[in-house]
Amino acid sequence: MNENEISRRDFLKIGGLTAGALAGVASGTVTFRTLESAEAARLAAAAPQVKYTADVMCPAECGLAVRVDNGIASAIYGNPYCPMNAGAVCAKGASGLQMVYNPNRIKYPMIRVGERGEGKFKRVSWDEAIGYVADKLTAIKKKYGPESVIMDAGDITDRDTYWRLFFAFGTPHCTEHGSICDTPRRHGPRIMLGGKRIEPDIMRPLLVRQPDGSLKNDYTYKTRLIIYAGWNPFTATRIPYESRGTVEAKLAGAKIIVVDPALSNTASKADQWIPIRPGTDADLFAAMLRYILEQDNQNDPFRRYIDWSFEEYSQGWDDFLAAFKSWWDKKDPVNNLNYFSLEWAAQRTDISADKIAELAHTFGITKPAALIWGMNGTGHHYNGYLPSIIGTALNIITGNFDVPGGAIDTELTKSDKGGSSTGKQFLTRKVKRVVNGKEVEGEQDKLHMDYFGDWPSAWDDVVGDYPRRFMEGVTLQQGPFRGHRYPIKGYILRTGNSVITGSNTQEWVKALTMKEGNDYKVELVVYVDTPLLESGLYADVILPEASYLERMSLSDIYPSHPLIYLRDFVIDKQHESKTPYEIMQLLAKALIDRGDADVKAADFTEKYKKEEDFWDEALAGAPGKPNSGLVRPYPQYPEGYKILGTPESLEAGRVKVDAEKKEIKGEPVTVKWLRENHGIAVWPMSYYRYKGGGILKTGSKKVEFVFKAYDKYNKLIDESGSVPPALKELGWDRYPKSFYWFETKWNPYTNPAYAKYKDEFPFQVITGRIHHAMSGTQSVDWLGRIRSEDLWYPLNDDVTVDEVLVGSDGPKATGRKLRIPKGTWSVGVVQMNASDAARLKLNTGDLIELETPYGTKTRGKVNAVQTIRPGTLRIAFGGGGRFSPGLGWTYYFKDITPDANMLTDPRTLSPIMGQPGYCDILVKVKKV
Amino acid sequence: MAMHESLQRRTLLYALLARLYTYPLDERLMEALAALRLDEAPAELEEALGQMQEVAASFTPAEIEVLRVEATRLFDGPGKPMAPPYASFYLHGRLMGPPAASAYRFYLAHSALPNSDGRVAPDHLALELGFLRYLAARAERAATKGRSDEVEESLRASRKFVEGHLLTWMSSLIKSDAFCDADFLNGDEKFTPT
Ligand code: SF4
Repeated sequence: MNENEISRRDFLKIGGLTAGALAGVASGTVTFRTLESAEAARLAAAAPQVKYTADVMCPAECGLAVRVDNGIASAIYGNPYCPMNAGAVCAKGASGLQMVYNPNRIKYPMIRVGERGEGKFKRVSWDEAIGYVADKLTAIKKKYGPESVIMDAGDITDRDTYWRLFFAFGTPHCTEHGSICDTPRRHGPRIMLGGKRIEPDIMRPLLVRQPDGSLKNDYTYKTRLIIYAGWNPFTATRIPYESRGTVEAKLAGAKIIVVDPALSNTASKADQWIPIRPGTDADLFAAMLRYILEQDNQNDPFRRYIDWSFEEYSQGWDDFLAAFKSWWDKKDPVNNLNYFSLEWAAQRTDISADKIAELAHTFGITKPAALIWGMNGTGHHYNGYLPSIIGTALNIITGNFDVPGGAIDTELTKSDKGGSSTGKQFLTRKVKRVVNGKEVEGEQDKLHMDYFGDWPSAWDDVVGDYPRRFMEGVTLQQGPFRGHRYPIKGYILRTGNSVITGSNTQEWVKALTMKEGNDYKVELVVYVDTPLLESGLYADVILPEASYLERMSLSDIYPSHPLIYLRDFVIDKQHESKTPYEIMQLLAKALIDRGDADVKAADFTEKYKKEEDFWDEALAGAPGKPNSGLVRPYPQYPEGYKILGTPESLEAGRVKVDAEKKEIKGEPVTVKWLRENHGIAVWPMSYYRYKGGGILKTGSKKVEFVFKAYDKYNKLIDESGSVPPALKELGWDRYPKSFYWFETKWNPYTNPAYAKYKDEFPFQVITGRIHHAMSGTQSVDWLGRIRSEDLWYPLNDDVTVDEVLVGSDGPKATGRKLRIPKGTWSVGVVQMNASDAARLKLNTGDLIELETPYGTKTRGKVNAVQTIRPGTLRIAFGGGGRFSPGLGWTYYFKDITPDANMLTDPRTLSPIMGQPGYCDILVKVKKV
Repeated sequence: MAMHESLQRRTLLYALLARLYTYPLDERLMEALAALRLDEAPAELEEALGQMQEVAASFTPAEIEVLRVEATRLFDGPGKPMAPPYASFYLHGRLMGPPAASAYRFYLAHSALPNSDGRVAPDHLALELGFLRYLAARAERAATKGRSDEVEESLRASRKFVEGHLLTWMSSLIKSDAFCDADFLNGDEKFTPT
């Protein structure tokens, strides 16, 4: 038909509508306008694009799909191809544009002109800023050695560029947020499996090999029971599929039990909330394990708790059992009851013996199930290793480890990345030092202040101990350089905020402002970030880092099966910011120009021609997992061989199978390949991946109930005869061979040493994590308006303040007045049980002061609610006392919001990994 | 019937359809709908229109308010709406996917730009229908001036857009379980694709 002919259907005769009616009808609809053809062509060239990248608004690093209109990021969505978040983003992720386009962003390099802490800076060029840093680093290296410099890469995983440079520079001290996050929580999986984080099998979709050999996304939930102890995935993300997956698993019939002193968001979705006394998770788990061991009956289907097949893939169970049982006949001085009995646990946890028995029975009998313990609840106590070890054992002996619907160690299943791009190879360089008048040679990493100092087993570094090290310096206790003394003179902090989150705030401030003569003791403090947080106020140099929509790197976080995705350039760099890669290259060049013998052009400026080259190198080892488990990811290739290459090439058989190296090598994953595949590579799922060693990373390639991971530290002690102080504190002279037990600190209900504080300091303080209120994201305006979990609440006063914005030379008053009406802005509050509040004659909104037995204090407003057990107070970690003007409105409420780290005991660092005891706090309360 | 007249009616019909998916539904729209007459229309179209008109004719302001609430629940949210009126949702699983970009490019290829400052996704049903109205109006103007090649070009674009874009997802929208008991919206959903 001729297009010009109008068919009968086109000639629908419309009667009764007049032109006037048409105008009426059309009003409100979106109309179109006609463009000049050149203009249309120009816009067409810049039509909206969807770019795939990875978030950093929180460490879950969800896969994102960002809409870009004419070069402007206009909306943030989840990347539907990324199974971690499967297309979802939380409110915080969606509001990321307020971070990227925040008026308080650090815009230019700055150099301090006032005293540290005053926040007075001048704008300088990149050349000047980098030159300043390079001069200082060169001088420090010459005078004290490169080991006097710490590179602390904070909370985001794209740290590789910085680590590479500083390892090459010669320091062994490249650290990150892990050591102040949840090291005790990770400990059991680490020493028993070589892993880190056990999570329930609820990441969906899973890419599953079908009987016909094809691959299909599986959305079914097989788990029947999840117990979350002190873990609140609904606000404390990192594992973004857990909130979604918990709800879906429940809808699919799973039972959810939450053990937590507070009615968390997760608890509010659960079938059962068990409000345990803070710091007694280990007690509960130990009683559950004892119950299961004593009550197991393999002949009774209702008591067949243990799946003894675990003995095939583990070693040392008898030793573990003997060590565990050795406590059963001992009496606890706190209550004169036998350790790990139901009555003993009931007395300590404040959960009835019947309830504990029911919980143990339910966990033992329900399969598949997962017992998950958390960051705040268990990891932030001095003895947080214990629930982690016992919890790992419980998942293993009940047959729930790496089975469909069970518990997965996600550290073991994620893709490899980094490889030589991380610069770890520089750590094995031989260096010489003169120790006690004698020249000694050893590898660079043997200069590490923790591993060869007071914390040999703190393999994530001891950031909480830095203030002491800054003030006192380092004396190595172990290894070839034993006796070597050096000060800490340079601190490069990138995307972290140690002053608020590192450990005790006052100690950090003291350490960073301590003077030696006219100079600061720590001679160089550099702050590299996008927002200006408190730690930046103590910096000598501030470098504006490109935001997460303006830089590249890789994310892998904690999936159930290997996957890796790209953080990619979405928009142009804003202001004068630079990417981590560019900063690495600039600083490398500046050091080379100053004659640094260790930083070589061949490793930096000549090696990588463009940013993509660096990340291609980091991708070369992906996924790097063995072809093991059921169903084997690639049944066509040999079992147990390491898998390398793109999913596509592996699937198509474009591989080389190397029998000698036991490798199946497909075409390498590259930035280009990822960009062509929605930013992500996903390899197939399998279960039972421990069979034949599989993904286990222990020395024996079995689950180790005897802690061989500690052997090398014991060897160091044997060689030096020097027992680390933290072990001495426990009365140990060596790391234990298997199960161990010790009490947490500042808990008068479980540790007799603290019983005397019970009456005068009647409240235990725990810290909750508020998803909105992480250190950097308080600058996001939208999030300040959303309340959360009774911890982050619109209890602000009516204030009119002088507006402060971060300008080219630091924070400055704009001259404008800003009125924030009462009750319109959420602030960190003190969550208190209403009965406690009534007893103290306190009402919601009253300002109170919390004081510890060692005299530290913080202030906050009471939120009197039923959602926390009596005798316990909860405050948001990093949610108060925020004194950086770079944070926007939150800053104006710094005096009425509590800073948990004002209360943290600087001496309470957990004995094996040196993690601060963020939840081991006792206080008294006074109305202000 | 003269070409010009038929194009005018086409414009009118698309305007009405676009308006049906634009918040808020109001009395004027109800009146316009009630006044609409179709001659020689297929039976299913008559039926769908009849269903709407029957309800529309008797709406009180309070009932229109109820209808607005229902339309909000279906098309706008809060949260995920029951029947998201976006091509991307059905073809791509989420909003602002490639179908949105391709709709936008299509508009630009025909030198048209929505007057919405990017607030409304380019593949929103109301916008797509609005584009068809724009093309019809353009053809109508060209017909008045006797420029048959321009008429032809606009009609060709219209057909291409309907077949290559609108019809690729409309049926999924209609089939989504979300459609409620409200006879009016039910009729609307049959009326538009027919
Ligand atoms: S969970 Fe974290 S990473 Fe994911 S969208 Fe929210 S803020 Fe971003």
